[in-house]
Amino acid sequence: MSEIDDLDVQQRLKNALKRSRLTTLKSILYLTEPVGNLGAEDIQTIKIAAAKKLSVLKPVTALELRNSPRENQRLTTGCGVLDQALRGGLLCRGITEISGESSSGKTQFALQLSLTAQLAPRYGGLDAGTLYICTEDAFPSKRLYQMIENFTSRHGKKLCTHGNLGDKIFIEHVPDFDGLMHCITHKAPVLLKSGAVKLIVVDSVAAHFRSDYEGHEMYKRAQHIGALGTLLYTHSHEYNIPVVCINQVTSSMKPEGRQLIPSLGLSWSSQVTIRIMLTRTDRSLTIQQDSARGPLETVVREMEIVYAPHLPPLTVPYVIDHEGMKGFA
Amino acid sequence: MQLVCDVRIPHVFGGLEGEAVYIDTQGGVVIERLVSMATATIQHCQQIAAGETDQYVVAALSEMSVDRLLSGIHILSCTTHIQLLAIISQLPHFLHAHRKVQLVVVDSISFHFRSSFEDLSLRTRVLTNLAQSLQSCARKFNIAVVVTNQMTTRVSEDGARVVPCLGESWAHACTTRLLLQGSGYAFLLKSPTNKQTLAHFQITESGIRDVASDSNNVLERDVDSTCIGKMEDMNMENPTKRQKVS
Repeated sequence: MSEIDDLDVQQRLKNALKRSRLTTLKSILYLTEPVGNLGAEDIQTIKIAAAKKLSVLKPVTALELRNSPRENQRLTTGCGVLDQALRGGLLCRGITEISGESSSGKTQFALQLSLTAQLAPRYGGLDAGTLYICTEDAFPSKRLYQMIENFTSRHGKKLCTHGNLGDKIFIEHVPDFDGLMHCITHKAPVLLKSGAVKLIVVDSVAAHFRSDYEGHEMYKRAQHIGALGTLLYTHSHEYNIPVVCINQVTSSMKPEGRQLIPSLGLSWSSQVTIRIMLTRTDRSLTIQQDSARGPLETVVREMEIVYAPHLPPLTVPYVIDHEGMKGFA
Repeated sequence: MQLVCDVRIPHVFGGLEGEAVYIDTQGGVVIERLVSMATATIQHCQQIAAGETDQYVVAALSEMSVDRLLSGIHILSCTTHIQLLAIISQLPHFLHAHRKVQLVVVDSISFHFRSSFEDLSLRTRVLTNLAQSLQSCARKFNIAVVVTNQMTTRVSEDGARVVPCLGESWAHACTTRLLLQGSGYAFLLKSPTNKQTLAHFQITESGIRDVASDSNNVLERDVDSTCIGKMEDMNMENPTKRQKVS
């Protein structure tokens, strides 16, 4: 029993295909010229039948898309000012990359999103958990528990179910590229299908690629980056979920333009739908916290939207306090 | 996205009044952005027509609405190169059923092909065949086909250069090629009718617009290499009609 047995074409064509050993739909779509007993017209007929079986054309008009709630869904960042810069929040489609130097707040951002994802949809959440994949350091549990405490006291009423927020964050540590691909290929779909998880975070995507490849393996590295990007994008598209990838920065070789750019080059940046960069400035600010804590002096950071299909380039300053990221105008 | 809005412009305003098919391979169509560009396109037409009394113009204007514009844009998504091949195989059938379509956009053709193929000669054959299918659709249905391509780094003895993806064979398959640079320059690399020229454009809230400049002369200079934003190469297969970027 092969893929072509129930193809919608005459039996003589199916027999000819079997004789030429073309038994998968993929090989049929790759055909570019007559083969065996099959003429050009026969090839056309078979290709169309194979195409229909693989993917029935379901065009949607832009009008229907505009009116669909799925398209307009966004994941809130937990801060109104940052949400406004993002015009609602993170897109629930495509790969959102967050890059920056060390201690610019990338992991903080990802943890915050893991919590906001658990909010009810009408408050900007996805009412589901997160698959958090760590590729370098251990998962920052202590910081997460501190954030959960503050988050629950502030947003408790906006959650659909009650219980420990940490229970819904599924943490995986992966040691190398193969481990990462295995996790995303096999473990992720199980969580996604059950609806337990509606956000995937990879922290960080750069770790393995920057260290595990020799100089002459750059082509292989580009292939692997492409494979990872495609897999993440496929999950995002199929389940309509945001995928957040944290990236490191590297020095730009060019004399003009910015000094630090996201690492992994063109092969990764072409996979990214939205690129956000976080930086620490040398300014600081003293903010007033609630009465239990005194004023806090903290460094001002900036979130820059480098590119997004629907957003103009923009920079928003923010600080991090015990409750998380807070942007200001 | 600007092109799919422009193709919907009525005849009285110089447009094609046609429908468009947008094949989206990388989730770049965010409907909110398309809606704001569509709204701006209509406003643009309204401004042109302000004060006109010609009955055709008035009639066309009254029929224009964002809803109507959006209803003529058909969006197809795919996530793998096989799905893309499947969609393009079925495209003639779709175009036959939707005779008002005047534009097909594939965004982008290279996204899935650049990383999934180990056998490069197979990839070249498949892509050439794909280009031929698109060319034949363009001729048979008298439509414009616009395809976007990404950039990649080619390492050679002279160092690394940033070039369009998919190699030389793809470059031959296209009739017209336009190279866009992040800072707002469009460079006409290849065209059957015009010489190589450079144009300046900007991306505004309303979409792609000209940049007001004092000289009408178009500069000829070397196109710089990439910035960390995206740089795209647009390949166009366009047998009879000229595309206007308004």
